[in-house]
Amino acid sequence: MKHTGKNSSKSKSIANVAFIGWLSGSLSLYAGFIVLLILANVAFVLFEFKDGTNLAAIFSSPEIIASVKLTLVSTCISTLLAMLVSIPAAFVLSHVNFKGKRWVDALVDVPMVMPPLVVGVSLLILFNAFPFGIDDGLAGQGWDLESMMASIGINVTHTALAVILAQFTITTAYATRIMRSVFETQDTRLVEISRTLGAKPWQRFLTIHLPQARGGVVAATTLAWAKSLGEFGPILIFAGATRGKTEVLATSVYLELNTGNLVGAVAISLMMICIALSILFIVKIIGKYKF
Amino acid sequence: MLVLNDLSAPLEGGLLRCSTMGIAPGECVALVGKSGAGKTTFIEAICGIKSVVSGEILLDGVNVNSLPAEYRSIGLVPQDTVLFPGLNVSQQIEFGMKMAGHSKVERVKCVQELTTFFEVEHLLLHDSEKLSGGEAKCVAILRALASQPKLLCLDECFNGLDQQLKISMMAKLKGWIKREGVPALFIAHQEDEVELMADHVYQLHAGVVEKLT
Repeated sequence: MKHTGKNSSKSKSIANVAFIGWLSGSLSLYAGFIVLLILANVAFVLFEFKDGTNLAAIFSSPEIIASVKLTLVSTCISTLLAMLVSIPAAFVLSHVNFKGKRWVDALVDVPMVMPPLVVGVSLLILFNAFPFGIDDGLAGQGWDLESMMASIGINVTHTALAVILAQFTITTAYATRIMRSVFETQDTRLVEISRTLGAKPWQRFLTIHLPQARGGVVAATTLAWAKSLGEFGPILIFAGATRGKTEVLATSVYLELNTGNLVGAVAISLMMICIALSILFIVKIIGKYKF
Repeated sequence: MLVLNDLSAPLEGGLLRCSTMGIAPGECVALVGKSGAGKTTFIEAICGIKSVVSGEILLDGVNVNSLPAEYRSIGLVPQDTVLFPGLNVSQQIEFGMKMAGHSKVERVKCVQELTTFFEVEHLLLHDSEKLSGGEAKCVAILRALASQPKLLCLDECFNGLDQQLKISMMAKLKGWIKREGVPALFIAHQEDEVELMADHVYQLHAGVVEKLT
């Protein structure tokens, strides 16, 4: 069966146009949707705060200032902790074979697939009702984790520590997943050659694996921080939303909405968007340079 | 001194065997054979990168068969010239010395000695990511030598070098091997490499390594 050249080239060009249209259309649609989400917040705030007075009042309130401070401190600490744990954990999962590895691998993913509220409830139970439960009279009598921590002067539940722990629980799983795929796709030839040059496992980790994973570390840190910033469910359950004490920006939005202050909630949301975009922008710039 | 006794290693579709091989200090042995015969597998098995089924790899009288590659002191110059990203030429060359804990002074002295001997001092001014293929091979050879190996394995490391540079490099390398008394095993694909470098020649055919000359 013969194909005419003209028809064949015409159908090819239609297929090409359709393919490119599908690719760029999908990207444009999603990017446009994100822009619309941000624009909606900006337009709402601009419309509601034409003179700017009330906006300044919201942002300069002591509760919001405390919330911003706690948000920045807690997200930075939890991200740092998440990276300190996820880098070695991901390296073990990607380079070491051991019995039960599949189970450990699945366990590390659990916080990602668990509903955030369930993570919060689990943290609350772990600290306050483990291992004897609440109604047996032993919880709160020195037998639960919270009481043991309290005996050495550390209170966790409903404190800023709970905020950090809740953020850490979720973000470490995401950071580990990213770092694992980074370590798994590294050039094994470099490792083999470094071995013939006498590089011991820890030397290979520091001189070959870690420098190669630079981009991945930046990506994982960014995602971990962004996840910490947006974390809400587990914080609400485990740390509570006490104004000026355990309130972070995500819970501020919730508290403002709960009191019927939609305008305040949107203003804080916009602030979170600005903080997140600034950090992403800085990280993108840093990522372009070797360090 | 390298001695192999009844060495066998897994090779696609069978086993690679070498009943005996000996390389004295300062001696160069060429391994020849068709493409895909398993020459690289053989060399990498000796280095500890690939596994060995049975046999002995005696290096200065010590069986290194059960040792990981990093404890064997066998320098490898791979066919694919792998240089470490982010390191300059000097850092590439001194990598093995740094891993072994040599001081900066010792490392600098060794790099200077090697680059002067091989007449490639100019490479130290280059960015290692901008080296030509031939220059990168030179750096890979110097890197393996700087780690002061008890055995040097070269996997078609002269491929891609222009004829003049190749002859010059082979002559200098041969001189260094003799001077330092390092046994060397190299995979050769071309006759001139065998003629210029080899004291003895082994052939790998049908999974068996045998002495030719």
